[in-house]
Amino acid sequence: MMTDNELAEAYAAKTLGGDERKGVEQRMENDPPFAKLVKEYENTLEVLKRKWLRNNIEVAKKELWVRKVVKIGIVALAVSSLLFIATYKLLKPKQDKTTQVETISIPKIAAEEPIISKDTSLVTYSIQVVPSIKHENTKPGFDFLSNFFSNEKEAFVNSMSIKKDSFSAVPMSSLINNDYQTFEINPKIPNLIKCKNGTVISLPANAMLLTNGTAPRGKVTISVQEYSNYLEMYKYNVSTTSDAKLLETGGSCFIKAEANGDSVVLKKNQTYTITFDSEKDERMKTFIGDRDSAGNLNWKLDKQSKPAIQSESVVSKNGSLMSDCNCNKERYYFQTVVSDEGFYNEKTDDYSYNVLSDAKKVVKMFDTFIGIKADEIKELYKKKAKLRLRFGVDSIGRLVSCDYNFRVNKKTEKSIKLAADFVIANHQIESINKGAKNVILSVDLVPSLELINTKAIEKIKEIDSTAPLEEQNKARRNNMNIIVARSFGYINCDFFSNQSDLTKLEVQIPSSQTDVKVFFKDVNAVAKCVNSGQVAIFNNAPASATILIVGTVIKNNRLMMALKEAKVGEAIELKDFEPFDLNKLSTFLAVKI
Amino acid sequence: MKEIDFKNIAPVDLFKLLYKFAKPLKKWVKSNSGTDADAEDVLQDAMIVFYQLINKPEFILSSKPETLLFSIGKKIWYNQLRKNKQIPLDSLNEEWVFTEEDCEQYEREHQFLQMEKSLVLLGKKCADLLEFFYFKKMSMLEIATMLDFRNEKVAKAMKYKCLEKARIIIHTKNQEL
Repeated sequence: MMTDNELAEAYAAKTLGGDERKGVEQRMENDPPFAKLVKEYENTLEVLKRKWLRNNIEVAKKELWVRKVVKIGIVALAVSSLLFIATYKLLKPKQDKTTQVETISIPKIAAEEPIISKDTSLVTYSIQVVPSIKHENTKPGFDFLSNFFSNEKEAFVNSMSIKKDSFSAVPMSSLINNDYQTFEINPKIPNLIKCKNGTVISLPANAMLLTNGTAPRGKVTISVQEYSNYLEMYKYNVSTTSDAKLLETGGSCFIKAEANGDSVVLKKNQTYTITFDSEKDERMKTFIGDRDSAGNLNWKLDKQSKPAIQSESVVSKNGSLMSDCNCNKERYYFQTVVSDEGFYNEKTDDYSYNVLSDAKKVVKMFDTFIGIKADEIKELYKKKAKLRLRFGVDSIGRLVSCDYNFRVNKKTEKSIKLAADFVIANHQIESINKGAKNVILSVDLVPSLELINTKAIEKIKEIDSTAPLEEQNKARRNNMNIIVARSFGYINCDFFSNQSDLTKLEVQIPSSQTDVKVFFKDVNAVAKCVNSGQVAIFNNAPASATILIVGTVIKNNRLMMALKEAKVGEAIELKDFEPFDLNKLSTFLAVKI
Repeated sequence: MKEIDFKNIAPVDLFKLLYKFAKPLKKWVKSNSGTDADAEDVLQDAMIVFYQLINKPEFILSSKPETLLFSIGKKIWYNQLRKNKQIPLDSLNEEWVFTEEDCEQYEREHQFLQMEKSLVLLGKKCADLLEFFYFKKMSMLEIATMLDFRNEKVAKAMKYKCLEKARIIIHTKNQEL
C-alpha cells in the first residue's frame, strides 16, 4: 500500500498506470490537501528537470567551446607552420656555385618563452582558460586566481596553442569557491564567532534548521569569507554597487552553514548580528548580495532588516561581560540572586537563556557601575531580604539595561521600610514598579541608566589607558558597525553613497575582455566597470575622486595586470600590462575598510 | 542535409544544435538594451522552453528550429523588459502585444527560475541522485555504485530523503514568491 506521498510522487513522475492515474485524479477533485501535495511534487520534479536541462546546456556549451578552441589551435598551428616555412625559404641564401654572393645570416627563431620563470623574483604563470559558468552550484574545472593567492607555485598549463596577442577574459566566476574560515559550533547554545579580520558573528541558540525543517543534530560548520580590505575584495570579486549605484561599505562577508554536508538555514523570522571592524556610521544598513552568471556581485537593500540595538557603551572592569556574553537576544540578562543561601545564578522560565557569567562577577559589576557593595548585599540577606541583580546587555556586551529587584520575605511594615530605606539612601531611582506574581512583595528598582553610564564611561577611559590590547580591542568594538541579518549568504554593511557630483568614468583598455575594477580611495567603495569596446565604463563615479584601477586580462594565455592611480575626470588609459604579481597588487590595494 | 528528429534527440545534442542558431537572438537582445549576460540568459531560457515545447506530444515543429528559438527568445526578452519597465508598452511592435496568458506564462517561468536557484540548498549529492533517478533513468543499483552508497536500499532511502528535501525547499521558495 502506497503512502499519500508515494502516490503523489508516482503521479507527478508519471509512473502510474491509466486506472491508477484516474483514481488519483478523482481523489484530487475531492481532497484538496492531497491535490496540493500532488502539485508540490509536480513543481519539484519540474524544477529538478529545469535544473537538469540547464546542466545539459552548460555541458553543450562547454563541448562546443572546446571544439572551437581546438579548431583555432589547429588553424593557428597550420598558419604558423606555413609562415615559418615561408620565412625560412625567403631568407635562406641561394646556393650559387659559380657566383660569390653576400651571405645573409638566418635570424634565430626565438626560443619559446618559459611558462614559469622560477629564477626571477617575478614568477609568472600560464593560465588555462575556461568558459564562464552560469550556475552557482556548478563547480568550475579548477580554482583560478585562487592559486595565486594561495601562493602555490604550480601553474596551469594550457595544452592548446593560442595565437599571438590573443585576449580573453579572466573567468571571475571561478573565484567564488575557496578560502573559507571555518568554525564548528553547537547550534543549541548562543555562539559568538570571531573571524580573523575582526568580524564578529553572533548567532543565537536554536536559530537554525536543516532544509527538511528539522533542527540540526550535533555540530554545525559555519564557513566565512571576510571582505575587510581592498585586496580581499579583489580576490573574491566583490564590488560595492547596487544596480550600478555606488555603495559605501563598512565591511562585508559571505556566510554559509552546513551540518554533515547538508545546508543549514536560519529559522523563519530569526535574526543574528554581524559586527564589522570598521568605524561606526549611523547610515549603515544591511544589504544582501547575489552573484550573476558572470560572477559579479550585486547588492540589494534588505528593507525588512531592523537596525541593531544602539546603546551606550559599557565594558566591565575585568572584561567579563565581553567574554561571557555569547548571545544575540535583544536583551541578554546576567542575573544573580543574593539571599541567605549566598550568591547564585538564577535560571527561570523567563530568563532561561541566562547565566553564562558567574554570580560573583555580576555582583562585582554592580559594585563597579552602581556602587552596591558586596558587604552591603550580605547585610541585606541577613535581614531576610532577597535582592535580585540584573544586567541586560546586547549581543556584543554593551549594557542596555540595568535593574534590581528587591524582595522581602514578609510583607510587613518593617520589611517595606527596609526596602524603601535601601532604595532612597543608596541610589538615584528612575522608576519603581510594585507587585509581581507569586511573590510576597516585589519592588523593581530601576536606577538611572545615565548614572550608570557616567560611571561606565570613566571605566572605559581607564581601560583604554591601562588595559592590555585584548581589552582595548573589546572597548573599540563599541565603536564598530553592527547590522542585523536575516539570512546567510552575502551580507554587506553599506549605505548609498551620497556623493552628489557623479560622472562617467572611462578607462581606455587594450581589449574588451579586460576586467577593470575601480577602488575609491576617499570612500570605501569598489566598482566593476562595464566594457564597451575598448573602453571600460562606470557611470556613477564621484567627480574628482582618487581611484585605484586594477585591470586584468588573459593575454597570450597568460594572466596580465595593469595598476594605475588616477582621478575621476582625467583621461585614463590602462596600457602597461605586466605579468600578474600578487606582491605588487597587495601593496597597491593596501586599504582597509 | 539529414532530417533531425527533434523529439528524440538527447538534450545535450539538441542544445549544441541550438547554440549554432544562437547568434541572431543574442545580437537582437544586445541591440534591445541587453548585455552579453542578458543575451546568454535569454538564450538559455529560450532553449529550455524550446525543449519543453517540442517534447509535448501534440506539438509539431512546423517552422525552422532557428525561427522558433528566435521567436521564443524575443518573447522572453520583451517580457523581461516590460516587467522591469525598461520600455514603455506603446513602443512595442504590434506583433508583441502581450496577452494575459503571456504575462502569466512569463511570471511562471520567472518563478521556476527562482525556485531553481533555491535548489542550491539541496547539496550536490542529493541533486545528482535525483538527476540520475528521474532523468537519466538509472537503476538504484547503478546509483548506489555511482554515488558510493552501501547498497540499493540505502540509495532508495536517500532518494526519498532527497526528494522530500527538494520538495520542502521548493515549496518554501514558492510560498515566498
